[in-house]
Amino acid sequence: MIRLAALALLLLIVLVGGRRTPARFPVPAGIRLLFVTGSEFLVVGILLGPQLLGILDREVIEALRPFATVGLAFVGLHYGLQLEIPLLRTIPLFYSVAPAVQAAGGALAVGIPAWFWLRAWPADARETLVATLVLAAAAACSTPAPLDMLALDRKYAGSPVLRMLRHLAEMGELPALALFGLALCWRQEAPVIPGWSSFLFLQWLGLAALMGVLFGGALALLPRVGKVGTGRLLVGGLAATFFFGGMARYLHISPLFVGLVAGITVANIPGPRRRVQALVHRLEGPFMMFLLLVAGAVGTLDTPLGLGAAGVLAAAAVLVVLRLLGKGLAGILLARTTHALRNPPAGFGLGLVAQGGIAVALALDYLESGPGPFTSLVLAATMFAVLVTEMVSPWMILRVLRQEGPGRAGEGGP
Amino acid sequence: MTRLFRYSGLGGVPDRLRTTVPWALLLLAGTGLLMGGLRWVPALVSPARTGEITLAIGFLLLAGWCAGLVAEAVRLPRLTGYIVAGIVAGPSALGLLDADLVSRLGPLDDLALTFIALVAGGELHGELIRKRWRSLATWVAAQVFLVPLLVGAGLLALHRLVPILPTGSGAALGAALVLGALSLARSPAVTIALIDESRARGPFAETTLGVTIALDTLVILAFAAAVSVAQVLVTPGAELDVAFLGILAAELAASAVLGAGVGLVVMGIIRAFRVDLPVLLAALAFLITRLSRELSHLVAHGAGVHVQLEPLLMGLVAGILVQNLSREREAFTHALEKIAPPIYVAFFALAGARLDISVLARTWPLALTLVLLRGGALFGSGWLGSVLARDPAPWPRLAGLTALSQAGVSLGLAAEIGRRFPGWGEVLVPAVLAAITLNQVIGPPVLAWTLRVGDRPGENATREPGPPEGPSLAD
Repeated sequence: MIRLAALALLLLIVLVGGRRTPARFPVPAGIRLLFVTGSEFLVVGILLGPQLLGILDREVIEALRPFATVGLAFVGLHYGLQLEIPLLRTIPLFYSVAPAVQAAGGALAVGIPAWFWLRAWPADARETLVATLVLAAAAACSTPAPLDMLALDRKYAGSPVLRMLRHLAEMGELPALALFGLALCWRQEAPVIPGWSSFLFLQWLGLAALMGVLFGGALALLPRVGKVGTGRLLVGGLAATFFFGGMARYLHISPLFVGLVAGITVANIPGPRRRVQALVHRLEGPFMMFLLLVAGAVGTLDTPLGLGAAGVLAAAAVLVVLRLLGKGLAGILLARTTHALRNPPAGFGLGLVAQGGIAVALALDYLESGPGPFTSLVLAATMFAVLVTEMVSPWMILRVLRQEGPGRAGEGGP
Repeated sequence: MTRLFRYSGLGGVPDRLRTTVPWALLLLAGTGLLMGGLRWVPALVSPARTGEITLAIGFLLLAGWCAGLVAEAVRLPRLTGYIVAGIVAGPSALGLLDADLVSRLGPLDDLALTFIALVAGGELHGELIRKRWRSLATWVAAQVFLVPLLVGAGLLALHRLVPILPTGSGAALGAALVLGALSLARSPAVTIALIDESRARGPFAETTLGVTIALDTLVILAFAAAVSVAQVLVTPGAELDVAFLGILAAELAASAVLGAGVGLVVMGIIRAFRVDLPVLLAALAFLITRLSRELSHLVAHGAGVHVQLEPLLMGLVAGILVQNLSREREAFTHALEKIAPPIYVAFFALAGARLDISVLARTWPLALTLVLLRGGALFGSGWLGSVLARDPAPWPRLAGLTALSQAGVSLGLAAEIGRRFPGWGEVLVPAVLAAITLNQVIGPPVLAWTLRVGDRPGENATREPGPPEGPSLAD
């Protein structure tokens, strides 16, 4: 009783506080960003979870899990729907390659040291590789939210660097999601086809792709079922996402990856794309909230590796620094090779430092796909990195923008 | 698909049948095949069966959604489609959802029932009661007094011909009394969801809604009184348990007071939020149910008194308060409309999955008798109440038929019969459950028909001009 009343009260205080505080009181941009990206719910989850107040107990977390699974599927759908192949073909080569280079900068800077570090533990080589790939995929992510927030400032609204950074952040998450999906397929040990233990990775990749295509097909079919209007289409879309997200989780496939494939499928079927995109846009917000709440609640500094809380936080801090270096170096590389910006500022890549909720989604999906020696560590490190990088990112982006030289019209984006 | 219809000679069928049904059936079949197929891949599934709840909710939503569209295309309420989809997929038919999984979906009920009560309260504004008080009073009075009497008398009369009640005059009288009181129970969820679905806002729909809400509370009191009297009749030397009725009245009063508190919280939430309001209201509905349950436990442990707070009444009072006292009533109604459709689909499909068809097959003679007696009693009492209220022409023959549906409350009360009267009660319960199953299937189409006929065009029958499409889910 006390738990539930406290839960109600705390949620209310935090939610009301979250909506009101930034508007009424001047708070640092880093804190304000937490409310813009929804990371406030990650903090709420940590506060209410079993590690601190214990208000979100096992039963409540179990009740919230389906919503988190659906949130993961929506994340995949959101990004998949952007991959409309005919449209991508019209984008100049630099703008297609640059996001991948930026993502690779973060992924390699974190992935390579993480691989050597994780190998120090006596764990299965497959698990070590998968944990490394998930950490690398999370490090590759950059959220455009702080850039959007700063774009509201008239001083920076027309900045070509800001435009370029937005493009890199938005497109850079796609390779991260694909890498993550492949990693989870690699994690499987049992064959999909009974008795056939060769090509396990391909078997699981095929199953995930098939499920994604079916999901996408179902979504594309919805607007045709009696030409239903928006309200009923939303219910159908929600139903399909619950169904295929749940099925993916049931079969140990990443709902996020299945959603990504589904999104790509819908994006390339003529007709329903716009309606499904609008549907996903309207539905994903509340589910992302549940996703972050669950991630915060299930995150723990108590890992099976025996690192202790201080050890996990120290490791997470090192990974944040490595990622910063990787993003910075990738930025320098891009600035040297591009003609898309006339005067790219030094440290251009540091404008992409905020990791965002997608990184948490990847780590949560990894944890939910089954227990492993590194799952808790990956989630804890990612949550730490997300919170820290979001808080420092506005300051870093402003530093980059202040170094920006005079721009040209049409510069900075495809 | 349309071409297929043309070539197969079905070109003359209504447009909705051609455009909706084939696609909906295709999606329904695909969903069913996938769900069934999962039973053949146990090697891929972990022993913990993670994701099963999400999958089951998704399946209920998707199957219910498709079946609802098919039902609508053949001029049945969508709600009937949801229920039928649940029955077909449930443990007693195809078994795509097993009994264990269905029972693990209980939290859906926690959310849906209180949410539906919140919607019902939100529909009840003071103006409605002022305008329709005469019809409301006479319909309610006629049904409260006549339905238990007619059903009880009918059962006793039939019992003289065929022994359908327990032997012994006291037990037979007690059983007739309890079953009579149970006949008053209806499904407020069905009424509210159907009125919402059909967007009926005429005087007949308003009166039906008001009567349903009033009887939803009265039936609990009437049933409790009937059980107390029946226990005196059945148990030699027993005395009438007035304290029990007192506790019940206190429970209802406490629930109403707590509901008023919840109403104030809702008003605060509405003022603070706009964007996440639909999700917050759904979460609040879930929380009300859990809070009422934990509070009941707390009182039982602390004071040693068994109390059962009514989350439905709490939701109802909260909804009434917000609708009648808050300036934000439009935002409240709008938010409820946005989140309601998926809750209805999942709740009614789950209700269908819970129905046990095999019980119906075993006990159909008594079940059918109960359904017919109850239907007749409702029709008669509804007719009398409506005539006394001097309602317009088609209403008297429709009034009683609005109450045929039975669901959650009735199931709870039926289980209570088995618990209170371990001997004959347990024997009667399967037949009562089978009768409720029949009423749950028959009730919604009949109610939809009464709403269509009762509020004819030209009598303010439809909702004020609004979006032509069903409500959307999120902001």
